[in-house]
Amino acid sequence: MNFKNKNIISIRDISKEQIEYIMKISAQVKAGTYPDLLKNKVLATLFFEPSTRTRLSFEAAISLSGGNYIGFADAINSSVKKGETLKDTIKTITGYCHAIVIRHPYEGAARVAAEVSKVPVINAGDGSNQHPTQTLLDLFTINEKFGKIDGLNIGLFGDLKYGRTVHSLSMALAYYNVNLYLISPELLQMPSYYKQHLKQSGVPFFEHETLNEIGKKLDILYVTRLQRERFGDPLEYEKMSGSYRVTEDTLLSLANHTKIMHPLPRVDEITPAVDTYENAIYFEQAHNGIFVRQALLGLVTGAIK
Amino acid sequence: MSTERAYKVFKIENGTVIDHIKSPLALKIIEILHLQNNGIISIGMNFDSDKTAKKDIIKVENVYLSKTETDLIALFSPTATINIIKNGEVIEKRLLEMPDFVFSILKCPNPTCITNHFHDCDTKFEIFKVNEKTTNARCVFCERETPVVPEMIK
Repeated sequence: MNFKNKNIISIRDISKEQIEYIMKISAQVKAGTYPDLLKNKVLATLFFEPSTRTRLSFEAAISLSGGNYIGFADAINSSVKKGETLKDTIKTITGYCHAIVIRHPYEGAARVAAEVSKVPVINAGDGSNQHPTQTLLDLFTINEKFGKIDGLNIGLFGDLKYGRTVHSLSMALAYYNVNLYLISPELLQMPSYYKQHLKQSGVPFFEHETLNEIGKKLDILYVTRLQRERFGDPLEYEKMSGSYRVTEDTLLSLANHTKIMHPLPRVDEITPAVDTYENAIYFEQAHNGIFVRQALLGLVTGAIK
Repeated sequence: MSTERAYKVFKIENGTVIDHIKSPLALKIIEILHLQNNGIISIGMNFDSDKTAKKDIIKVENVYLSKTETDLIALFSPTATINIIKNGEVIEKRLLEMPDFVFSILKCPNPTCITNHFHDCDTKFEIFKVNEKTTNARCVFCERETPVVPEMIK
């Protein structure tokens, strides 16, 4: 499968076969098959909006593979402040590196970058639109834990309306034979166009407002945070947020084998006491991001054939 | 009676007639197709029609619009019809086909879409027909899908 020069912009552009291939290569990277994968490569990490976690994960992935990186962590000191357009920034930097990783506050920025870049572009988050490497690391982690994705009962929990990660994840899971449980307050349900996509893909999905009836069925509980500002009425938030907080008590309504995932950063939606249980795999999930990003950078730069 | 009088006023020898346009979109369509500086244009608005409750009509003298141009009208008024006139005769009756993609003419309604923030990022939409009444456009950049409405015209 040829990934050389492929842009990784949206889950929409990635086929099931490509996802499977990326997961296979990520597992090989994790097993140590490709040391110094990015030796003599220069990668640009252009963070037009701050994102500590994703940026450090990419930069660690590059350094651990023997590559070098150039870039910036926010737009304050970049030429953007002088009024340069995104296209011009990319047209310049494309001549300095072998691949570009971009995070931008506006939706569609990564695709615009890819249109004018001569080197492959990886989207590290464009506004509230897509964050494909997060989805790929989520799938990799699920596959690693269960040895499969097909046949799993997966619960997406919390803010399903605005949460970018659950939107991309649900699109990717639509390739598989899974049962999806969408657990959210009525106000924050999954938008209808994502549900329509699931319906068209033949993925059975069930909407619930609490974990109670279905917690024991779940293989995975994917938690996202309810944000106070999404609720018009603060009292409504106070009333709701308790039922969307994962505590040691919540574990009682889950199966013993249920794994809890979270894209991080966590605020207060999972209490730290839960971290010590085997159910909690969110830090492992974050660490897997390194291998998936190493694999992707290796693939798109042609370092891995 | 009113139709007869309208046709007497508007009859052209050569050019393109766009009929059965959903009212009041005639002026918008002239704008989209950049017809305002392109030959003599006659416009009729708010005629009674069987196809739409009220219809508009545009006649462009001595200009033969291409199919790519006229298909753009399908986004807003799929019921419109196109007649190409030469020497007073209708030489082509053209049906509108929905384009798969439209470039530049629509503005993305998402305020945080990149196309609304840089002058050198033009818009591109993928078009889907949802049903007889609704056509959706998906912004290729921000990936939001919305029903096409005349307010989206730049």
